[in-house]
Parts: sequence; structure tokens; C-alpha cells
Amino acid sequence: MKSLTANEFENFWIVYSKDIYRFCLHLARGRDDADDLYQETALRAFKKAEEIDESDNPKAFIFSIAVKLAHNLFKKEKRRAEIAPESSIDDDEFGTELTDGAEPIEKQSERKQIQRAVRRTLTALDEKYRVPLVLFYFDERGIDFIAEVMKIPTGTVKSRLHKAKQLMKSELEKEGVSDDEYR
Amino acid sequence: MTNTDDLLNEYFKQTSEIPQEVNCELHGKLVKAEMAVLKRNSVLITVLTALCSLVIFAASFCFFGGFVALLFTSGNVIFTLAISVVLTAVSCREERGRRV
Repeated sequence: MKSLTANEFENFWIVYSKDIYRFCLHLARGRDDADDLYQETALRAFKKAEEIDESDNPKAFIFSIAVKLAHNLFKKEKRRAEIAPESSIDDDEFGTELTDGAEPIEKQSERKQIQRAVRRTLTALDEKYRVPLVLFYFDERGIDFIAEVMKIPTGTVKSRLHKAKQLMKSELEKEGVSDDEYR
Repeated sequence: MTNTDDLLNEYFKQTSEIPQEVNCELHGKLVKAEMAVLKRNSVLITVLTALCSLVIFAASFCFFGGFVALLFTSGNVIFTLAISVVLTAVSCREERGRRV
């Protein structure tokens, strides 16, 4: 196994940075948390540069660092929420919408409302369901990749994904979002 | 479940755009620079701690004897380490604030 030098790490980071940032954006509760998570991941990855093996799925290695750091973040959030419950998330700060110019304004606002509902439901999910769900959909990665990132067996990933989808479905129904509305 | 699949696929497709003001690649460079500073600082702190400890040990050995000298020296080491940890944490936080 060949470890990375500082310059090699810089190039390595350029290749994966966007995916990692996107992942942090979906894992964290807000933009500030996502920025923090991303920076911590970069710092931790640099410290562990000698453990990165470019021939052995380095992306999974970095993602697993982000997941571990996100776990600490969730714990901190939970403690914070117990002391002072936070107001709702500002969903508008998340991502830029891929809007179709020809789409009527009502349709756009409806789409945005559904996005907010999905975001709320997703962030309310327990960490053990949220992480595999995010990994599965945002990067369209397979079960093996998720298992490697989360360091759990593939069977557990499958069952958690199934449960996560069920939870999402029931919670979205409670929010008044039916599946057909999104199209 | 397929419909929830579609809904989630669509959601992630629409919200996975990175905001324009975020420069992801820059972080690699900044982290490299930050690590270099941290490394230099830690070397500096170690050298200074060793020098201070030596001086304190020599001075207190002359005036109070071996036991007190050891006590003072270990106290100094612990104090310096604690200060350096706090200073590093503060500087990292400031650096992060500037970056965001």
C-alpha cells in the first residue's frame, strides 16, 4: 500500500471534493453544519493520508470519515435540542433548484413545498436510517459501497434501507405528500 | 415503494447542486496549509516547553531541591500543554470562521 504525500493528497481531494461536499450537505442539518462537516472531513482525511490506498476505494474511506464525524455532529445536535429546541430548518439555503423555465409558477411552488417536506422528513429520520438512504440516492451507490462506508454487513444495509423507505413513505403521507404529486 | 423511490430520486437530483460560492477544491489547498502551520506550531511548542522546563528545573533545584524541582517542572509542562491546546483550538476556530 502506497500512502499519499501532501501534494498527492491535494490532487486526490480535488477529484473527490465535490462529491464529499454534496454528501455533507445532505447529511448535515444546515449549510453551516455542512461546511463544518466538510472541513473537518478534509482535515481528518489529511491526517489519515497515509492510510488512503488509491487502489482500494478511497472514496469509501473518505465517506466513512464523514459519517463518523456526522455521528458526533448528530449527538451534539441532540444535546443542543434538549437544552434549547431549534426552530425549523431553513430549507431555502439548500442547493439550487433545477427549475425548468417553462414550468408554471404554481408547479414550481408546489415542487418546492414537496422538497421541504422531504427534507424535513429526511432530517427527522434516525441516523442509522438517514445515512444509508442518503448514500443510496444521492450518489446512486450500491449496497456494497454503503456497507463499506458504514462498516456494517450488506444484509443490515438492505434492511435499514427498506425500513428507511417505509418510514419516509409514512411520514410523507402524514405531511400530506402523495407520491404522484412530485411528478 | 417504487413511487417513494422516484420521489427520493427526484429530490436528490434537484437538491444536489453545490452553491456557486462554495469552492470545494480550495479546501484541499487550505487544509494542506493549515496542517503545515499546525505542524510548525507543535514543533515550536515542544522546543519552548523543553527549554522552559529545563530552566525551571535548574532554578528550582538550586533553591528548593530535587522534589520541588520535579513538581514545578511537571506543573509547567501540564500548564504549557493546556495553553497550547486552547490556543490551537481558538486559532482553528478563527481560521474556520474566516474560511466560511
